[in-house]
Amino acid sequence: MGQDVRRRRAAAERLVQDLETGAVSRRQFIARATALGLSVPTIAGLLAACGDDGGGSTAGGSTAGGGTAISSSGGARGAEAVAAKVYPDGITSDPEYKGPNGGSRVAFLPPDAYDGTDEHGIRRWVCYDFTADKPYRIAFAHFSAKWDLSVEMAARAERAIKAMGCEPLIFDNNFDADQAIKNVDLIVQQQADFVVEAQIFPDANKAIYKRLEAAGIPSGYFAVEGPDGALFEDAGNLRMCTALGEWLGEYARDNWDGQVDLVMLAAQPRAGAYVAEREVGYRAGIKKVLPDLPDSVFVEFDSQGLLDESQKKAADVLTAHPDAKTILGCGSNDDAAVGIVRALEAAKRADTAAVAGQAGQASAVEELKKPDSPFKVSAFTDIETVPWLAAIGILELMGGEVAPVNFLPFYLITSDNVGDFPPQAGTLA
Amino acid sequence: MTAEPSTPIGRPEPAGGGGLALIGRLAAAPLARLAAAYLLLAAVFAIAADHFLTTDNFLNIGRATAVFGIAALGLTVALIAGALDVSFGAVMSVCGILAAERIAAGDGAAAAVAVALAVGVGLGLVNGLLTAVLRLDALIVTLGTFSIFGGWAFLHTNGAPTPASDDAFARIGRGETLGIPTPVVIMIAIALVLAVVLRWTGFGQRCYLVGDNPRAATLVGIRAAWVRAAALAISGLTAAIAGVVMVANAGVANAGEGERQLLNAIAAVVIGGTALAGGSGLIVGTLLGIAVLGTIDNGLNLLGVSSTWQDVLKGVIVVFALVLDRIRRRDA
Repeated sequence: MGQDVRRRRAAAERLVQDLETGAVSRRQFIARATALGLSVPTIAGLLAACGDDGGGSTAGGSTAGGGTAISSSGGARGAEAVAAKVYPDGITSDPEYKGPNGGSRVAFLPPDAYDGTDEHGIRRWVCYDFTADKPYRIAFAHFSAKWDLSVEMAARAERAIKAMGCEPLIFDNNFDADQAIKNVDLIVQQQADFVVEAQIFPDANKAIYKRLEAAGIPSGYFAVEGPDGALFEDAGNLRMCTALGEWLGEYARDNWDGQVDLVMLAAQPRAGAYVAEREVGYRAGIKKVLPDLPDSVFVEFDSQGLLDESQKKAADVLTAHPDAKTILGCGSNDDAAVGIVRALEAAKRADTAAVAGQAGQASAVEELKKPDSPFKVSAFTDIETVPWLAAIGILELMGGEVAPVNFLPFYLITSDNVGDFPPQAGTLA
Repeated sequence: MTAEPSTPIGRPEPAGGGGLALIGRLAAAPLARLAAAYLLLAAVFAIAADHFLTTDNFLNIGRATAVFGIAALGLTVALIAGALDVSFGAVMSVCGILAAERIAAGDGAAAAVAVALAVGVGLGLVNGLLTAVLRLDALIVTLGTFSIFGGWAFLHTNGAPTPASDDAFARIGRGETLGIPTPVVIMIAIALVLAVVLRWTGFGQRCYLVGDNPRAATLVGIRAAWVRAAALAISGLTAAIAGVVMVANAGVANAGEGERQLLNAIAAVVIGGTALAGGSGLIVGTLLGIAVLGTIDNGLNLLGVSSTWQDVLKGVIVVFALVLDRIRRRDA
């Protein structure tokens, strides 16, 4: 027994020397150290002391909480500061960012964090590149089996969780807060180690968090925020819609000399504070490019995120502003944006209008294919990145430090590149 | 047979002479009261909201109400015959999806519409046959088929939207006919046809009789169950047309979209004076109900009132209409 310990210690010392001299890469170091049975905090501490492998992940900054047993085979890209120690390679963090839950630490998954494709020809994501230290039970409660994208999210999460060496438990929240809360009882019954919640009611998320917390099960929330401080993942409404607003502002600047008579904001005020950040983002983005634009040109209405509702309200806004010629439209989602488009077309005022949406809904894809449509731009999030939250949960279970707010990459899609974006549904489910 | 209401909607006015008597009868008529209420509502908005009293704005109201309005017209016929059809929203979804699939398959607008309408009538007949053969209440039957049809729409599409990109098809939902939005033209055409059917055909008169007192209708030789079945088929047909218009406007069909029209359509019928228990009602009343709902939404939008308050106000009006209906029936 004592001889074995001495042998392992010697091997570990050689490994550390190799890391210091650059004879082994950081990835190789993690793999070998894990095989030698070094603990996660020890590996993290050694990595912090010895620097990176030149692949882009930088050491330094706070490493409280230690690292993870990551056997990464993907290229390390631009990780820095805190997240360099706690996330798979390719993830960056911004210690200064103020997230929607008030979290001061936010992690970003950059668009180039992919690592080739798997045997099905589907892009493989960085989270598959590490294996959990034991087979945790990870519950993924998705929005609804009635929504194709949600089914796809669940399928991809199931695949990712398995690839990380854990056991997936999939639940259908059925767009129903009661069902989501009932699912929590099943999740507790099945003794899950971590729960990813994807459902649309912010208040229900708070109730779910409390129930899970009472059962001692950590949880993370996708797209709709949980209570303050709870683990959260999304594309980031504020930053995404700020980018869309900037795009619209630049369009107005380039095509109308910056003259904008009306900005229609198809909002969803009943969807909570986090969704409301979309309108805040649109305003901020447009004003960033056109700082002299008066507040009076912004008109916000409740679209409920629905095409027909948005169309009705936008039509009435256009009636109330008969003299507005150059018009920007900002959809809380793509359906709401298409509703604005329909109202503009009906009022025969689409020629001097530009509309933006977000989400990558089918209505947007169809509209963006039309070169003459006033629907100019949408922000799509790649569904393949959704399982990141499961990976973050596993990292936390393994003793890694994680950021409370986590942002996925998004892509600005126009008629020029809509055909290039990978299909979001039907590839796995 | 129940005693005839003093001035029921959908029944002949009592005879009488003189101009003053005519004005008195009009003032007492529910339809006239509804029309007066609508004019008052419009007058308030005309004063309070700039741009309310414009042609374009009234076309907006028509466009905004056409989809649920078309469904409400068929529902009126079913309700007059004593069959409350709550499945029409699911029928709208199913027919819209099938039409979109035909478009996606390259079959063209005519084939897509034909398939949707045939399926709509078929689903209406399923409701009718279940009601007739099993002698079940239409509300119970259509609650069940609402779930079946709506569930099938999700299962069939797996919740995925079905694009419907075809110019000819899109014109049904977004085009104009003689300067009027095509969906509004379709709604008015259906209203005219159904008004004629109810007023001047034997089937229409049987609908009123069956809705008012099915036992009495049976005693005089009317096959009440089959009249209701036919009325439900008409409701299925108008639901299919509404579904086609809805998808043609959106350019995409989604399972569950039609179900959202349920409350507005029922509200329009109730506000229009059609009795929930059947036996009375007029197409023109439903048209007024549609106009009331559309005008409230539009006027409050122009005034910048939040949609939450709009929902509250619409709810109050529906409850008020139901109370009036109950009082009218009690007095009768």
